[in-house]
Amino acid sequence: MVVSSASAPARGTMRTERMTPAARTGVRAGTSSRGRHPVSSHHAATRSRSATSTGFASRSSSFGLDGLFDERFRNAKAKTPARSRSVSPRRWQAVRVVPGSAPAPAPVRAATAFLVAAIAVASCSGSKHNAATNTSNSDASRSTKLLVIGSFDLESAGTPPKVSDATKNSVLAMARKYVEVSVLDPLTTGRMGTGYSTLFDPGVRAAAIGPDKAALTDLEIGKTRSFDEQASPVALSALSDAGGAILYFATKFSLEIKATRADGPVTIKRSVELTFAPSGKSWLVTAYRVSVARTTPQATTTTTAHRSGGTSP
Amino acid sequence: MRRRLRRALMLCGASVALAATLLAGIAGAWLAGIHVPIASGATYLRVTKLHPIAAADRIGGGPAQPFFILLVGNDSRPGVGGARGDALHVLGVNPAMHRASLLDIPRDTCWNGDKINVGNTHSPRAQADDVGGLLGISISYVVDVDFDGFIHLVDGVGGVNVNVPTVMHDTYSGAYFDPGVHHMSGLDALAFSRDRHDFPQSDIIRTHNQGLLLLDAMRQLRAQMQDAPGEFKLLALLGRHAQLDGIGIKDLYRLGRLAFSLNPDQIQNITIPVTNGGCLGLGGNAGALFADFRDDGVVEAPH
Repeated sequence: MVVSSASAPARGTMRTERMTPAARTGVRAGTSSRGRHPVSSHHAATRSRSATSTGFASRSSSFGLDGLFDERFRNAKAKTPARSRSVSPRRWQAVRVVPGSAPAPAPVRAATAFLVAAIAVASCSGSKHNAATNTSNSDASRSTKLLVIGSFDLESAGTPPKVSDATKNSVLAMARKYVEVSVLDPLTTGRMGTGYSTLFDPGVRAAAIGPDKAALTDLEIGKTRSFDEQASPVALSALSDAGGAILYFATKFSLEIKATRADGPVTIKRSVELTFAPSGKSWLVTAYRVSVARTTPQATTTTTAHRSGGTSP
Repeated sequence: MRRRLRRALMLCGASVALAATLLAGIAGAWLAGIHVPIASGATYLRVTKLHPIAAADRIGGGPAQPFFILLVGNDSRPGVGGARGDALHVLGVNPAMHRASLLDIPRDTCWNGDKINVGNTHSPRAQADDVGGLLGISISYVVDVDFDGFIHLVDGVGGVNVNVPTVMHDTYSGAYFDPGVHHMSGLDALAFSRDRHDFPQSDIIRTHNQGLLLLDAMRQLRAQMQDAPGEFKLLALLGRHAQLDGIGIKDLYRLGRLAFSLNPDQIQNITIPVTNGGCLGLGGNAGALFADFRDDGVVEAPH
């Protein structure tokens, strides 16, 4: 039986703390993704906008060659001094440049020329190196806006410790990094993001880069023209030992992506549970349960991977 | 000043009297056999790691080779000491094959001229040595639980659903069940596990029923262990109430993920063949069964 007093929780009692997801209305996520995916490296431009839906954080990106000029135009427009602001579709339409249409006024022509030049410069500066560099900049990535803490539960073998917001956020940052490098980057560039293997501890690393890679990443979908991503709030749960040290920190969330590929639409529904263990000042994935259902024009497949500590549960 | 002192003394005296009364009440109830939940932190079970799994047999800390776990229910309870191993079960786990088998060993099985359950009166390690000697295996872990710990443990996980195979009406154990699935409290589960008077084969059927209960409990825990919060809840319970010897919560986490990934429906529950008598000898095909079990932790051939 668990005995408790009004002043202090009993040993081993579970503390449940429900955190209100951060308000996402009006959150702009454009600047980071633009920085992360240089236009020229993929011969594509990226636009970003925010959206809010019940229980989900949502974002959208486009990389298609279709309407490239428009996309670049939009992108460049969004790179105007107010970087944290995105441009509404209506605004994009208003400045759209269409071959054969009536000549634009002089200021507009000048602005257009400037933006085209800016895009050209940006195109020339894009390189593999830059892509890699930017990929590692996960804190400013789309996943930062995508994943937010929904709830937090603590189970303890002794006196429950106080878990700081900083600790929770450090774990959340790792979950975001996973989403970035294993899901969003492959859909954006067709390649894995930098540092994928370093997310995992040695007990599961071999499996994560080997047999479980197909479930853990969306590399097999390949580069898409555009995609929208939505995520549920992240459920955090932790286990502490008798001394109050955190042994494990788990993140659980679902992710839904609607993408467009050259051959048609693709839908990815992903359920992710990553269990982290402390590693120095950071956290590494020590176990995972991942299930992903992918619907492509060719087929619908479901892939799962459950693993911990080198065993194959 | 004097008044304040007198007041303090009265308060102190009242506190001591209250504490003494509470203690006396708990002790009296305990002696009378009434189950008194004391406080979190009481030891429900002991988990002992006997043989470190060699580095070569591990991948990233988890066992990769077959290994064996001895599950012991001892008869220690208020008024009965000794802690004989009255329920003895060996779970063989093969991580590579993703399979397991459970061997049930009647407590009266003869080993070295004595009943095999005597080993546990010395230590869980001695019990493991005896059972390991009987089967020809090296046991890596022992989980040892007494009556009270068993009750607490079952109650701690919210009871277990047990499929009772036959009618039970036994005044000795307190087992009164009709066939079918029953949600059992700790006391119910203990009664079910102890009933032998309902069966002509006595302890042999009882031992088999204990194996059924273990698999039913595994089934239920497995359902609760399908996500991290469920795992953490069980681990926290074990962390609070298990005496861990040579093993830590992290080991339990990995073992738990492995054990509860196994499908209990595919785990064979086999009672070892024994002859009749006071001290039970091994039945004719016991040698073949043990050989089948020890080579990879899984009984493959029909026995």
